[in-house]
Amino acid sequence: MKKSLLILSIFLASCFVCFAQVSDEQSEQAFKIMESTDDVLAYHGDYSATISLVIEKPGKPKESLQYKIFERTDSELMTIVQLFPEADKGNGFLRDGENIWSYDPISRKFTHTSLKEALGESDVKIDDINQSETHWRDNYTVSGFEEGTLGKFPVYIITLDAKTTKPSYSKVKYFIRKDVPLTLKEEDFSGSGRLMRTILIPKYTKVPAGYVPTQMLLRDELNKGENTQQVVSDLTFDTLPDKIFTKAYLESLN
Amino acid sequence: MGKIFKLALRNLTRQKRRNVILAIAIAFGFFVVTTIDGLISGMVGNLEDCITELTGGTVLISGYEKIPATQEGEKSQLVNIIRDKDYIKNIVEENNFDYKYFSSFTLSAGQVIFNGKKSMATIYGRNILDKDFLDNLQIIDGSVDNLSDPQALIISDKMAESLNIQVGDQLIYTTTTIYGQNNVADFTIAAIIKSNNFINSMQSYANIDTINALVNMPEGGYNTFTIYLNDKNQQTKVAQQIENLIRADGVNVSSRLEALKTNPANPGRGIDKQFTKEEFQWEGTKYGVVSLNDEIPAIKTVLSVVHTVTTTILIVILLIVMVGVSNTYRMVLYERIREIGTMRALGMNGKDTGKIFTTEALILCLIGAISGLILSVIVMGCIHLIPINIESLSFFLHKGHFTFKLSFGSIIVQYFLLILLTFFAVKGSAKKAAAMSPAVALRTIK
Repeated sequence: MKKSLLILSIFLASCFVCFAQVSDEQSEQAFKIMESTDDVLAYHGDYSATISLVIEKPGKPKESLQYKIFERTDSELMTIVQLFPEADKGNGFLRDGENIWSYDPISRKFTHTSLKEALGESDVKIDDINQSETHWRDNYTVSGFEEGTLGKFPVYIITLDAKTTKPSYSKVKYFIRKDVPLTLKEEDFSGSGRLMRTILIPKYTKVPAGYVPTQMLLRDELNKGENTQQVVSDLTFDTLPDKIFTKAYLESLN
Repeated sequence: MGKIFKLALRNLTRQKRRNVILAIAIAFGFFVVTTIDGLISGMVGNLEDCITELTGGTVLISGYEKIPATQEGEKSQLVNIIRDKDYIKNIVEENNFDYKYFSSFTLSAGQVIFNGKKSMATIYGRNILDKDFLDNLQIIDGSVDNLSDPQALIISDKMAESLNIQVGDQLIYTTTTIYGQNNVADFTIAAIIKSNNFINSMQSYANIDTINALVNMPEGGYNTFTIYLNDKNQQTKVAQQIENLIRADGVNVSSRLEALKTNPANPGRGIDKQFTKEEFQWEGTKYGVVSLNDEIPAIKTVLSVVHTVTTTILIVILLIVMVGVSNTYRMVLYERIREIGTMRALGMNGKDTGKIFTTEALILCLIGAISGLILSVIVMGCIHLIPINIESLSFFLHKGHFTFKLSFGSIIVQYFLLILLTFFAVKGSAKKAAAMSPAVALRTIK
């Protein structure tokens, strides 16, 4: 009796492994979908936007932050100016390639750091910012490929396992719209397979260059009630004057 | 010499008030200087102990592997890992270093979450059942019996208070693996320990195998090995010896001497650069050996500045006092001129007459200095008994109390200075007394 149970368990386990495995064809399809999620986004040229963040933490009042962002993606130029709260108004950041300057309007001083240094202590890696075209294939293997529904949208559910140490999470699950390859939901898992963070992107805005995620909700799954909502507004894709990407511009705002 | 000493002692009792005032002035100088020196040395010593407690020893050995960059523009990844469980331990044991204890642990920094509250935490993954380790902990809640649970966590009373957590509660700990990926685990509070300051209030302890699994450290591995030496002053020598022993084995190791060339004021930073800079590439494990003084050279500098400042203060005080001593002995010479004449007429030679003056002044100054030292020790003892509950001072306290550390070397230097200055202060009067003719002295009318 015991022997039969053991054989049955082994059979069931091997069936599970077989079904859980993703074929090469599906894997290729999954990577293509992931690559198309990058292509569909408006990541080129000049743009400016207002980013509002609402941070909710359990037992604490909501915290609101607002920034104005100007970026010239092709030249790796970026200027960020804090608009809210009033106490931090005028704080600024200027990125020029690998160099980053932060500006303190009270002391009217700039502090220089490099992108490497700025990211050195944080969870963000250079790969998260300077994503190569092959970053999906280089760093992940596809461990799950399904079709399903998220809200009213039919979606592909793609599970990726990190095969290198570059990704910040060892397993990530993406819910991608079938009609337009837009990521609607991302679930980040720890090495032990526990859900750590969920990112919901319910709203995209279509612009001539592509799509821009205009509403994003980051949910900390370990600390229930801790959420960050990001709303992008005042989005423009007009050519920005060069002076915006200068220290003088940050100084002139105060 | 005995007679001179007796005469000098007798002379001191003749003008009691004047001598007592002089002795008090000297005692005050020594009291101030000894107390300041003792207090600041004690505070710096406590800070050093705090840091030693935090790091686990005075000699620190870490191991790093470098994962080369795979794409242009990327930097290679530095991974803090020692795979060989026994290599460093064998070196330390085989070479008979004079240590109190050594420990190896996997250090993990992250956040603990409990009931919506978050707190920064540093978890030391180590053998938490080790008797020496447990003896050093002041468990105020929970029991050692709970520590056999692989998910057991020992936290400080401050952390327990801030999270409102009790023994038996479960919390979530999020951290990154040694490769930088996010990970999470649940822990059960097994014991709450008393913390003395802000630094150790953030320290928590868990089973090394559990932490290793959480941070992707291979089984038996660890990231830091520390040696707590019995004599702190040996730390640089021992660190250098261990570095040489590792190098002699043909194993990759940092160079302290090279670090002293590149960063003479902060060799610890120089050693760090030998790991982080892209020009340094290696295969396998490269060990980094540093002493606490290399890592925090400011401690040594502060102590030396304290001794210099207090010695300068003492010199200033002594110079002022010595003006008084010099004037007093000019007066004494004038007062005792006929007495000197009588003694000289009775056969005492000029040299001995001068010696009486010098000995008398030296005895007076030494009595003052010793009194100042005794008074300082009493005051320091009294201050030590006062409990201090100021959080910002906790780094400088030992179990909530000021402690005082007297440097024998400094005291010897200070006493030597006193003797030297006294000698010079009375030199003029003693010389005059020695040179005085008995007839002239006896003829003098005051």
